[in-house]
Amino acid sequence: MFNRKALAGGILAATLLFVAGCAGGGQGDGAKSGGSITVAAAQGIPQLNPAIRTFAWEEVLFPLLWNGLSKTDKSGEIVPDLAEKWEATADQKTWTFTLRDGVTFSNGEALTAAKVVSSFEYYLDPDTATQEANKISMVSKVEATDDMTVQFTLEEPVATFPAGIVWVKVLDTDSLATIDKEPIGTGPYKVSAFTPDDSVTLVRNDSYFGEPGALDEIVLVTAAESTAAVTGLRSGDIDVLWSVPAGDVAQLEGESALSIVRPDNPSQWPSWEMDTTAAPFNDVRARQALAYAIDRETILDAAYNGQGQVSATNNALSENNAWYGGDLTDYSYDLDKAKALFAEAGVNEGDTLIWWGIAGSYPEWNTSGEILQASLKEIGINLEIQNNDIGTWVDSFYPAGKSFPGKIVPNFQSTPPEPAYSLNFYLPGRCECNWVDDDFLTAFSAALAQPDTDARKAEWAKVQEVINEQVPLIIPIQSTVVTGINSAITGVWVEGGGQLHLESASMKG
Amino acid sequence: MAISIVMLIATSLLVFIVLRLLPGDPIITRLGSTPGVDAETIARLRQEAGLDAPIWEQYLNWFGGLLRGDFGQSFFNQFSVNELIVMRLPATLEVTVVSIIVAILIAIPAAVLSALKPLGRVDRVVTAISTAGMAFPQFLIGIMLIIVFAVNLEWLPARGYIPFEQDPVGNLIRMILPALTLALASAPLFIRFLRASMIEVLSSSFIRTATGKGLSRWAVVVGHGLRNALIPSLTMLGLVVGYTLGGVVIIEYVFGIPGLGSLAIDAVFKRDYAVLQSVVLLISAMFILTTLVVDLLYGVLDPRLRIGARRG
Amino acid sequence: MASSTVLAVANPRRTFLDSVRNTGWQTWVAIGVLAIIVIVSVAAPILAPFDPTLQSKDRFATPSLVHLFGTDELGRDLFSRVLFGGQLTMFITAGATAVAMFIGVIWGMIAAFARGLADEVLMRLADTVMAIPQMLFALVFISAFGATPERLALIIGVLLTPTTARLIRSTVLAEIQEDYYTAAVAYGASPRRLLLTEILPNVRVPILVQTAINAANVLLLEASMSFVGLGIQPPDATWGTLVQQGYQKMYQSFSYLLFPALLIFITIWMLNLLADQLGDSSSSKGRS
Repeated sequence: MFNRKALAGGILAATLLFVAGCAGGGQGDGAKSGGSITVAAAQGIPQLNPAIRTFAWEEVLFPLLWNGLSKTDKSGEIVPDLAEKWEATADQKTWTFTLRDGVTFSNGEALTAAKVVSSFEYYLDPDTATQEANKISMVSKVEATDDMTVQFTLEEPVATFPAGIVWVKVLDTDSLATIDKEPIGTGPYKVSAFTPDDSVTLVRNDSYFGEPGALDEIVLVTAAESTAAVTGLRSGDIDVLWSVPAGDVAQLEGESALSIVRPDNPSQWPSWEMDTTAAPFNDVRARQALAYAIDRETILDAAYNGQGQVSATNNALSENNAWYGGDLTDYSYDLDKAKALFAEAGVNEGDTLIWWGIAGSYPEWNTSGEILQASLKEIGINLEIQNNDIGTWVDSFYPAGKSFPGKIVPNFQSTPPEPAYSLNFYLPGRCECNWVDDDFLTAFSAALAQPDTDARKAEWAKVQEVINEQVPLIIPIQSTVVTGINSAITGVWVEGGGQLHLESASMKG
Repeated sequence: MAISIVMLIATSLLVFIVLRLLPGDPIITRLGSTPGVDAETIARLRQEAGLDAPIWEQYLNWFGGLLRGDFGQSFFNQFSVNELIVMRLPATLEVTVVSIIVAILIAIPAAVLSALKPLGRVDRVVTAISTAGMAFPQFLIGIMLIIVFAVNLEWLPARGYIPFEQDPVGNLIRMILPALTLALASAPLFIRFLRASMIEVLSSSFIRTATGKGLSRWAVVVGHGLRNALIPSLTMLGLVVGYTLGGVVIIEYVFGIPGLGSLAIDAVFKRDYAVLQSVVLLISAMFILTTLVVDLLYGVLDPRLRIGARRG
Repeated sequence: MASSTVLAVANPRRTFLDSVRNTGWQTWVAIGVLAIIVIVSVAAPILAPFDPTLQSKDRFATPSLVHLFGTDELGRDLFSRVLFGGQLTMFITAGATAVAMFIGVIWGMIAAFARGLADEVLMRLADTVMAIPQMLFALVFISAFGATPERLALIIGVLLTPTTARLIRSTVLAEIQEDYYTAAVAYGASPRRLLLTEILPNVRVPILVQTAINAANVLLLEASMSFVGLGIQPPDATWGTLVQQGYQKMYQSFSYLLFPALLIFITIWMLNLLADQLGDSSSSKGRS
């Protein structure tokens, strides 16, 4: 009897062994030798135009394929890129950039001031609908004063202008209509193959003006299923995994073949939006109540597995950000205060709020929602969790100006540590929270116009005080984007907002 | 044939209508994380994309394009749907075909062993295993294989795809787990059907004659039973292709394979209508075509069915 | 994603109990296991040691006497979550199966009795729906209508109607061609009488078989949709959503994935076994 059983089972087993045997033989034939690396993320890259990027992961291409007039270096400083130098008039309203000499696009054309001007005009065109628009919306005129000089005229003073245009990439605007098929850039790498939402293969751009890229090839792939992605990183099939699920970080830290890269000055923050023009969150007390009802410690520990830090003052700036400051209320978890404030705002026991999340991706949002649900339950308020596909999700609150009463919409923002380009999220028409506050607008403009660093810090503190008191958004924590890399690779770094930098990556040894 | 075409048109209508039931649209999804865009800009972009036209007009535009072999244009990049499909088709075809071959390779020996002695111990074990095998959702088989071969034994990669022409070995190594997953899920269907038709063939009179001539049981089962049972099993092939194409959608997701299935899932979430409706239509067409081919082939191979053949 | 096509042909005058009596011990095992699963799931509120949504600091605990299946990322007792998950899973399975059977039986019967053009149209409609991968259809419908237990049951049920209709049609058609039916028609029996006393008793077993197959398919589909993230919303969970969350946290706790997956597997297995046994008994006895 046992023999026969073994025979039947043996058919399946033999097939498995045969198959497994084949695999064993081919092991070690991976694609990582010879200066080629595979870089994975959960999101896909659907298109290549940097102006109309939709997903955060698309930003990985920015430093590899293109250049701006200025760029952020590893320490967070704003340094020249395509520009050699810049200067501003005393009123901070006229900025003049002198271009670097000898830069050519990957199609051989020389970089001229005219190209810079047409790129900026493209970004400023409302139909381009770019995420960069509101950082440069104050530009009233951009002109080439000679072949190598570009001058910007601003409607209002902006002392941080060079930091605001880091992501405005200089493009060959004549070839935008074919950018997905034949992208032309000035960066250290160029695209050799592109399958939308699946992979982008990059090779070295030999005509790059700076130090040439060290790797022969960088393959960016989509790994939507996170467990398979982490397994791939551990087995060496993937060399760099961007945005490792927080729960798996501890595991990876124990592996000697892998190293973990985190930004020096994290400025990625979960932002939970509410409609501040509709009941109950049109009442500031309801928003403050919600801020108190959030168990930030548990959210950091359980949802984000400790990868980040608690934001007790509900602040977009982390406590170690140089611009953090002001007389700020501490919103640490306090259900009694939450209950009292909710009651004052007319939210009572038995009332229901809605958590409007995305299904499938971002498990940390879901866990955060469940934690908030349990907290609110203790004070008798129901939180109904509704996770939707991304298309349904976004349609309910976007664009700004839509009414979504009673909904709490989790999201996150990846911003530079510079407050001008993180706190600007609160500006009217930008944040879907629909918040308009004159004190905030006045304080924000004043900070933006102040060229003196110390004085500016005081101005930013005022801005933070208004936001802290009004709670237009919930910011439970600052989260850290964790990147796992194969220890054989060096030179990979991550910007505060989580953008992965591969331009100086190389194989060790 | 005409019926297949009518069915395809019905499918195109069905998919088109169902998709338009969804909230949101591709423009909103694309701009979703772009703060500071106003409603007028969105309306203008929608008009440029032809999304403000009446639904019937949008359908006719798409359908007219289909007749010219033009599947339309993605809302998210500059590639035509035709180009996207050409990029994605090889992976789906490969995993489907390889998995069906593996399923057949598993099913034939198992069914033969079963049929050697119906209701014998081997048969019971095979039947038990195949019944149990059918109880696994495809993705669960995929997870189990990943856990065993990728996580614990570290023999095979857990995910990914490399085109065959780029690296044949790398391609095949990455094809093993997904193809095996789909094969293990569909093999039980083959085994059960093949076993049943073999037993039926073996109980017919000409087999008894063959046995009477002194042929060994093995020769009878393989030589006559299997040969005659394979023809009716063709109908099963159509069903398995359908089952596998359905499973490909989720298996591509589990193993990160850039095929039509992952293209479709992406397109659902992004509301990339042009891509989704064309891909669904293509997958349905593949299924309908297989059924048609199987029907025709069956008619050719089995003379009894030439007259009055009709699907139940 | 139909996992099986057991084409059982009923034999006249054979009741359900007869067919059960004629099958082996495996039928009783299947019925027994399924009964235990259903009873335990329904009795979840009594049997569960903890509130399934109660969070604690004891996260990812390994199985112990206090937490039989361990705890999850929020320190919730997985045993209790699996029990309550079973309850919800049973609700969706029963609901969807009922929907599929109700619509499918009517659809198939109309086609079988109408014959001709109406039959052709109804069956081609079924073919058309069947040609579209169920998974994609399910994704679109759930995106459109949301994933409450009731809606999920309705959507999955509707997706399973075409296969059901097809099977019912061919079974009924086979009955209509039987001698006893022709005789009854010749005798002048009313349509109502024909349906109630001649057809229905004889297609009872195939209907039961299809019910079991449908229930198994509901479980498969629900689990697959949960795996892509479009299942039941938290804090509730079905076995499918527990598997999905467990797989994401596989490196932290293996029992999280193991137990719900095992339960899905066993339930579907037993349903398939039951369908096989009932189908076998009715067809083999019918032929002898």
